[in-house]
Amino acid sequence: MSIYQVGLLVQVCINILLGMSVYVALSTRQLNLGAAGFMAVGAYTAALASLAGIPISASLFLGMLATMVVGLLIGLPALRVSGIYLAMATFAFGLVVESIFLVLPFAGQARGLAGIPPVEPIVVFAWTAIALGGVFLLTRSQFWLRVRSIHDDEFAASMSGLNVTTVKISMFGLSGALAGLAGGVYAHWFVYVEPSAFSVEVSIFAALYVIFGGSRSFWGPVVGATILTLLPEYARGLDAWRPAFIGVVLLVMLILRPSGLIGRGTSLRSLLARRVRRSS
Amino acid sequence: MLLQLIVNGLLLGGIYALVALAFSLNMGILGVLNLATPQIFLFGALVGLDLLNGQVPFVFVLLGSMAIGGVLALILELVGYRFVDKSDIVVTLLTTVAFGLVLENIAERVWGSQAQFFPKSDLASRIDLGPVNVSAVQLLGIGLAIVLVAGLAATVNRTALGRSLRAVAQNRDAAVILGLRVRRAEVATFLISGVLAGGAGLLLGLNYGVISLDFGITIGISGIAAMILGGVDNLWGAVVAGPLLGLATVLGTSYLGANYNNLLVFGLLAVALVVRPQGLLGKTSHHVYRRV
Amino acid sequence: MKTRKPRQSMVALFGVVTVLSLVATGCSATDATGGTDGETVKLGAILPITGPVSEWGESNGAILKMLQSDVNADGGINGKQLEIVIYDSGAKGVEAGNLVRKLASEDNVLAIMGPFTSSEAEVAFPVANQMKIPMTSQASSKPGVAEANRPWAFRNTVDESIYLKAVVPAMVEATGAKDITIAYDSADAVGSSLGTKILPSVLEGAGLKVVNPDNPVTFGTTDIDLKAQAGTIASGGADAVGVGAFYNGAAKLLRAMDQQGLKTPIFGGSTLVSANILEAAPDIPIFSAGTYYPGVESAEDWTKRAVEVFAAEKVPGAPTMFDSQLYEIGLMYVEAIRAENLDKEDLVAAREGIRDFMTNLKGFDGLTSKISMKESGDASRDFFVIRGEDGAWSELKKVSP
Repeated sequence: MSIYQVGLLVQVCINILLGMSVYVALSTRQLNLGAAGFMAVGAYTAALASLAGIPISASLFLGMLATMVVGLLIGLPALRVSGIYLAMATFAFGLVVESIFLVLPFAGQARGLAGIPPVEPIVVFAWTAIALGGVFLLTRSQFWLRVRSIHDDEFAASMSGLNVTTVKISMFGLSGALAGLAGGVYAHWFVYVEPSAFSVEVSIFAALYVIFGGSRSFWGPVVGATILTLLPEYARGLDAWRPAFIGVVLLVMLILRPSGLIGRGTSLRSLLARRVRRSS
Repeated sequence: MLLQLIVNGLLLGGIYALVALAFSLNMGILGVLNLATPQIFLFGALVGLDLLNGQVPFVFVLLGSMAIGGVLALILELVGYRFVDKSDIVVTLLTTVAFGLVLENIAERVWGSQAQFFPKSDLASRIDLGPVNVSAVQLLGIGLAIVLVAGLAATVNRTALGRSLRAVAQNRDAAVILGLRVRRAEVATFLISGVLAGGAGLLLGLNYGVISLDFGITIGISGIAAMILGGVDNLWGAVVAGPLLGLATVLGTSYLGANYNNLLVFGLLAVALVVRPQGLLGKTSHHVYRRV
Repeated sequence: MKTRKPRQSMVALFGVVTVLSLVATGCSATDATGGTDGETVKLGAILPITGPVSEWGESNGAILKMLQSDVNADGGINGKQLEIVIYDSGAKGVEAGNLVRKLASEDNVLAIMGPFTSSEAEVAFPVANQMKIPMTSQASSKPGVAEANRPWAFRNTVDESIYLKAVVPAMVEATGAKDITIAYDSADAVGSSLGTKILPSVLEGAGLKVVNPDNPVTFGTTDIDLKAQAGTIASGGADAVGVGAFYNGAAKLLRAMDQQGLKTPIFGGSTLVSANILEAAPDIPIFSAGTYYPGVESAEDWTKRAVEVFAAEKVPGAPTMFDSQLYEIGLMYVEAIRAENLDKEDLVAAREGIRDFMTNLKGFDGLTSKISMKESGDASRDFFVIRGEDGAWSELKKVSP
């Protein structure tokens, strides 16, 4: 495997984490369109920590922690709004974060932060595996039943004694943590951060990974992020028309199969089993 | 100087109001945040510029820009929106995003990503009114916004089409069951919002003498912000909030610098969304939660 | 509301995606053979062909086509054909970083030309050092970027502070300016460096007074309404405006100034130089600097041929100094390979050889000047102070290091 392909894999990991961030929030019907903002918090925190001499893994952890706190703080007022309004509020939040980093004196402002110590790919893969493993176990746990019931009918869930508030806020915190890890990895892989790297585009694509891959299954964001990261690489021959190509693929996807590639309650085993059965 | 800033801000807000109206129509009636609106806006400006360079009289240029805006919005409706599950906010949103991606790519290939300069026009030249000066285009912007809203308000409240729009806004499924011409209402909504966006694009380009692809995101955010501040389902809210937002932007940049100004505006927007999502003139909050 | 059976829509979807992917893959047949396979010598290039500076990327692409055919018509490199592999970064640092890896490990090129912007360079240069492949930027001018990435990163550009130290006296001579306003793009890295550090220090050194030292005029790259800024400039009463921004922001500022009837001249570094900015306000003089402008005597032939190539490739506009600087980088690489016979199979030796050639570059024959490489990785060379007015650039004077 060439170092280029390894680099692509790192990119895929970052995007999977971003997609997963949107996924966990979306599982409680909270559309987080501010993933880039959380990512920025994680990236800058981790970068500043590393530049101050803290070892990379510890910096990544600090980044996650900081972003989780921000997520929890955002989660509280987020309870007041729902649906598209929450989406717009998180969208505004993303913009606010980008502006904050443009004015913070110690974060390099428009000049950005350079010279961040680079991270080994294996560290990235390890962290991604741990994070994904954690989320996977979460989706197989009792707690996830609460999440699903809130998704299916929040009112009924609250009537049956579920503490909806706690669940929704913690999902926002988790959403933040995952995006924060993505940011930390980004900072240490590309060794340079500037505010414009955390643009609206990043947030929108994070949501796209989930919708494209399947918003009702853990594997959805994984598949979605992988395909949407690798597809532009294979479409290089189209160079100047790549964005339009992506747009068309997305449109087709959204119209033909809006639930995403992976349906609800699909485990990897059943997916493979179905394939085998069909071919035999 | 301050007075001139205020005038500039209010009149910039006229253009924001038009864009906010475009967003507001889609949001208020169909519940969809149409993120292809900025690209439709840009197309209106760019096509208008081509027409101007072709010596076409101004009235037809304005009509042309509005027409291209309407056509593009119509295509979006027919190719994308029509087929998706209207109650799924994420999918409808991303459908408009995907369409916007395609439009942006086309614009970049056809016109390039450079700033395009508008020929010097009499419409943009300054008219001195005492201590301040304005241009005909600026006045046209705010005038058009007021006229269009009045027209829209009349349509919505008094015509059959307006009735079907209001019915769809309230409860689409019920409207279908009642046999109302829901498809026609949806198509009309997109068409009108596209016309507004296209026209606004031309006016902006004329006013500042330049149009650039990177205006898209700024216009999009400002339009959405004005829509929210004014109240999503209130058309007059856009006319009020647009100028206020324009004022805040211009004054903020002048006194705080460009970076702090962004922080201020976006921060206010985020707070407003949480504290009073129905905006300044919107209806009571329970309506907001039930709508989506 | 349509409800398709899940399996049907799944099949339909896979079908569509497969077809689209095949189309896409078919369109991108990259040749992943070695850097020198007996027949060709490969160089790589990372250009911003799509994105906010796509015009620059497109003209760069055309110039590289010209380079390739020029070299091959001249007998190639030690008998082998030159092949330049070009990838689009969209002016994004992330893409540029990935593409260095791709060019180095899959296309196995000997050296890389690019990236264009400093933001890309901040990401791509460290990767070039990791991959141990020489990389030279044709346009990055944010101070210190190459310096922080020795020994494999180079820039065939002149540091902006050196440009400005020459532009300011020339501007003063032409306009008699004494009081200066500073305006800069606070959302952009290069713009901010220019506006907050470089311009103030150069102006102080030249004994000029800044009218707004604590409250400079700022704008964002994508800002629409610059009337307020133009108004501030007007009321400040300065004789000239020092602009720290790329031409896309500066052009909008110029148009806003023009709309208010201002004729205050502006000046700045090479970031202003483009054909586009000349359209904004033809009446307002722009003082800037660069290593090339169309019409420069020493590169007349080259300009003529470049214009022909642009017409053939349907590239709008005229060649810029970023095109000439890119072409020169190509010439340097080719010369390195020819002179040191680096076209053998050994990639590592070839890359090290090119790196050493670039590090020790002295008196290399560029298009408009002899070029030497400084220890910092930036180029030392002649350049021109130029004045833009009425839609064209003209030379004010030539400056040697």
